[in-house]
Amino acid sequence: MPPRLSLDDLAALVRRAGLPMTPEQIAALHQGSWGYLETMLDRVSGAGVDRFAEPAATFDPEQR
Amino acid sequence: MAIPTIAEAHALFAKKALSPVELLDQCRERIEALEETLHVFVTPTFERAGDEARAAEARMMSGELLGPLDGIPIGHKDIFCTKGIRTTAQSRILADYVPDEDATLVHRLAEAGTLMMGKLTTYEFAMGGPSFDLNWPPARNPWGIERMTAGSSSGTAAGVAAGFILGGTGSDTGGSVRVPSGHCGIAGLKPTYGVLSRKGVLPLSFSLDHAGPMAWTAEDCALMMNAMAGHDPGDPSSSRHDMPDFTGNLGRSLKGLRIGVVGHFHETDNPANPAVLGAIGEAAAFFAEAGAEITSVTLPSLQAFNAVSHVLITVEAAAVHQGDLRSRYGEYGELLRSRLTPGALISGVDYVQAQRRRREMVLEVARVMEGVDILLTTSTPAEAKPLFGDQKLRNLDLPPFTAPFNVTGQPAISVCAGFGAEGLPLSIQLAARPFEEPLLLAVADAYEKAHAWRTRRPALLGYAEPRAVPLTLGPHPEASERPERVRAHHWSARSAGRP
Repeated sequence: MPPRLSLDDLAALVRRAGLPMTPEQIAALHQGSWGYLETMLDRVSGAGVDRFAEPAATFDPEQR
Repeated sequence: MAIPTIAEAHALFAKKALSPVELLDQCRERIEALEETLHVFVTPTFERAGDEARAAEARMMSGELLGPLDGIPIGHKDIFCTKGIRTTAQSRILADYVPDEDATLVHRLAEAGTLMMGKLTTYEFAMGGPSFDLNWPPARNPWGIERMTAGSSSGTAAGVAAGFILGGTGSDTGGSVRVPSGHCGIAGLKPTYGVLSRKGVLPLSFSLDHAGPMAWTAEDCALMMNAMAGHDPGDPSSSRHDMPDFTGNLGRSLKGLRIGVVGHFHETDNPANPAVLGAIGEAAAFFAEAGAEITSVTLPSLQAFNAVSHVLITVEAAAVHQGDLRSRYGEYGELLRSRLTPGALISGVDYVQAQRRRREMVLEVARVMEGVDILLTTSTPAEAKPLFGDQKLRNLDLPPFTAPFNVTGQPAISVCAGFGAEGLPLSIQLAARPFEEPLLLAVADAYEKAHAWRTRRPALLGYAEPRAVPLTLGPHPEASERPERVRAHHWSARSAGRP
């Protein structure tokens, strides 16, 4: 599944995350799973989610 | 059937027709013959198990057994912390990690009298596998050693199927109890989120991690749950619900039960093969014959559940591993690296959207569950795949059947549903409303007891089978004899319970 993100932009994300990946590893990620991940991110995107929709993880003030 | 279930072993103990030491010896015979093939153990602890077996035998002889798990050989997935025994997560990152405290569930099962046989094979940190570039090999499926066990609770599933142990612990973040249970033909329960403590279990995804029992039957899972469940103040997600007797509903009638078949899961979202579809159809027919009302229900698609599950798992796992990813990237196995890395690159907004979607899904499924008591689908779309081959994209293009119930947090169980053409196990998956494990276990138990699957063990065991213990509850005619060795002990370096 071809990714929308460019290889250079993915490399920038990797640098921002501080991961010591080689160019070959970044290219493998780009050509491998990144396109699938973009499809999943589209599925969880906010479009269609009710404005008042709360996340499942809610803060417990007692932190038991 | 020569390998007893937990319930059967306890009944034999109570009659003094079998002793914990004899049972341990039988398990050891199978282990010595087959461990080199199946790779169930990361760290065996047989000396400790022997001590525990002798103590249990003394209690048995004085009529003071602690309960149904006393004297039962079990194992723990190697992400459950064990005091003084290394807990590696099958990773070079933790290769020498020796916890100074037991996980709560390890402690509770020890208090129930179980014999700890060792730490069991997993996927690296319960996520990266099956991998061949780690310090330990992946487990092999006893029903076909060239097939995957699936994961990540792979050692527990293979160990129970092969009779190395009678039960064990697993963890399930997207299906890691239920999928290997399905592929190895055993029963595996993912309880309601919060029912079993996560304290001392190495985390993968805080939102979705569940611990669970794995055993030959649903009844055995129920017996294990009675020892494992209950509030743990050390786990911030631990439920404060009163815990029921998990065996309390076993044997109940299925008449009037409402079972919803989630047809689109296995027919269109991720089409199952004809053998699995046949098993689901047969199960529905069985439940109808038993008086249940069968309907068809529609939930969000597997793809929608998988997207939420995948984003939550990868982001939370990347957070757990952030420090080591930055400083020890090359020490992770290639497969885990490939799965963890995207989580470090996903935006905070996308993570929150996944949590918002999750809550919508929880509410949507709860509405469906107002009309049905049990959901029916499969835990795997086909029999176990070949062990070898590229694993990197497997979870991405084929959404798992198990992740929906991690997303919703409701209990779900995988049980054996017969065998395919190649003799590999098939499975069905049943799910119930939150905190309705007793009903779920009763339905699974009724299904198992009405079918003959539980009398069949992997053919691999044929040459390794110790002298049979009769499962009628009369006195054992040779109770004092020990089974003869079937093969020389050929892995003694790993059997001493030391790293």
